[in-house]
Amino acid sequence: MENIIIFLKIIIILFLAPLFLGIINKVKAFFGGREGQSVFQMYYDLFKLFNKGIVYSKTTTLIFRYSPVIIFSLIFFANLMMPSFGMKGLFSFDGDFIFIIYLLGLIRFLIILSAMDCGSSFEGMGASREAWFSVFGELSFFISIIVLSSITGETSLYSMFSKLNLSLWSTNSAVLALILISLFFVLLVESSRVPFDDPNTHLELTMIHEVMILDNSGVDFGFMIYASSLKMWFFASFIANILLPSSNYSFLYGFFAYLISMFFIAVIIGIIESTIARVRLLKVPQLLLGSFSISLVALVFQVFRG
Amino acid sequence: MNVILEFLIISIIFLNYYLLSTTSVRNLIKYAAYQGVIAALMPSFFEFHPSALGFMIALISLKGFVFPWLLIKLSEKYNIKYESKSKLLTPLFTSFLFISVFFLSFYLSYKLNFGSNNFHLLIPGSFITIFTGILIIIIKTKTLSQIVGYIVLENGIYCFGVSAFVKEPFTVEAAILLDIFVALFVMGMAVFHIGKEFNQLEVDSMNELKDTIEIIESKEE
Repeated sequence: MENIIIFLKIIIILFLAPLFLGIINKVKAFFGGREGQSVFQMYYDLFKLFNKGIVYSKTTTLIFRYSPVIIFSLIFFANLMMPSFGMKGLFSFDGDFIFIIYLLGLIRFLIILSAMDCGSSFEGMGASREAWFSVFGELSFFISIIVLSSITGETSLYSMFSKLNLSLWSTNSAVLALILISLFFVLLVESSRVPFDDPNTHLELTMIHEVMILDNSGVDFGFMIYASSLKMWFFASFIANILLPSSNYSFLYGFFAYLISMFFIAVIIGIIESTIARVRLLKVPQLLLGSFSISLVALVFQVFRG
Repeated sequence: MNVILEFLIISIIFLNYYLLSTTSVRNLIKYAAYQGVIAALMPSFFEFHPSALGFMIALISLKGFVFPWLLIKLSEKYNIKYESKSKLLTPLFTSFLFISVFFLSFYLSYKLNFGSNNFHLLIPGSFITIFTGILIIIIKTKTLSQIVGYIVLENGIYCFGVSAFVKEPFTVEAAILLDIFVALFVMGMAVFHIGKEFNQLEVDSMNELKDTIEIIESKEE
């Protein structure tokens, strides 16, 4: 049974993560009064990119060549470790969230390194921003997980999520709501969505994630955008796991509840992107500081309640 | 009930953060009014006395409608929209101030150790509000903002009153409310006269007044 679930998970992660972006774009198009691109546009893009050749600049080294594949496999692995629909991930051990956070840190390190490697000053700028903004994002993520661990009294992701039932939600709803807000900020900043960065603004001086993958082409570029959609799927499924008090229901129920909640998270992101304007670049750290302080308030509250 | 109370306390804490860092005088007045209304609603989540209803309505109408109406009218009359730029009002500095006040209040209430679980979080919340009120008076230079700082201070004292004297918060509060009511009118009149005399409400400019007197004195000598 476990093998089947892992297999199912691999298929879901690989095939539905691009759809997540498609739903967001469809919601944005709906709010803009447009027909919009197809929900499956991302699949077409990936198919096109994977059939293309690669062009490498002469200044690049091995780091630039291998990092897209490594980044993709690392984020895929992180996704596999995330428990979903009430089932364990590929591995589960005490303190596995620290491992996952460092996995994400490694991905960021590789993206920054490969951006610096191609020798363009433009990409160095983006790398600097990524490093700068991720400081607060990572802190909020870490503190949120600590609060979650303190509420449930568990130290592995699977046992945390499985202990989070309705009665726990009703007594700790204030703190949990704060964590959810903070994690949503983290989701938006890590996947470079609207209040922090606009994925549609190619070749602008204020972009963050898009600028770091400018020099990748063909298959490499395909891996990079696939990895960014997987990263979004990872954070969204983290939020979905907190939202679904998953203790004792059947597998099928958990499976569909998970998919529906992922769909709703995509719709919410789409609504946010179409109603809120992008924050000025200099104000981004302030917004991140706000998200950090939200998680900090949650932590102090949780500690103080005992 | 406890959960709703927690949400109210959290909203009061975040309103404090906003009040401390905003530069818009109109928003400052508005959000201080929201805070006052939330604070006024609080006792009804402990034990509801029907006799207290009249007092609650009076409190909400005063803090939520009369004070903001008066202050917004003054700000429109003298065309005061934003705080003047100062080094103390940068987002980084106000965030730092708020976080230190946050930890200080939690530490203080931990040391004070007021038993009973229900009021556990209300006490640090009230400390944060009191400190925010003081900080608003210190770091903002418009007279109207300083009056709002006074109101925020009072909101904090009220929250503390709710947590510490939950049986009879209204006798304590009535005295404070009378104080602030009188004080606000005195301040309003003072602001009116200052505005009429100098055509601006910038407290920093008052420093120059002293200098001119010294110059006059030195000339007389």
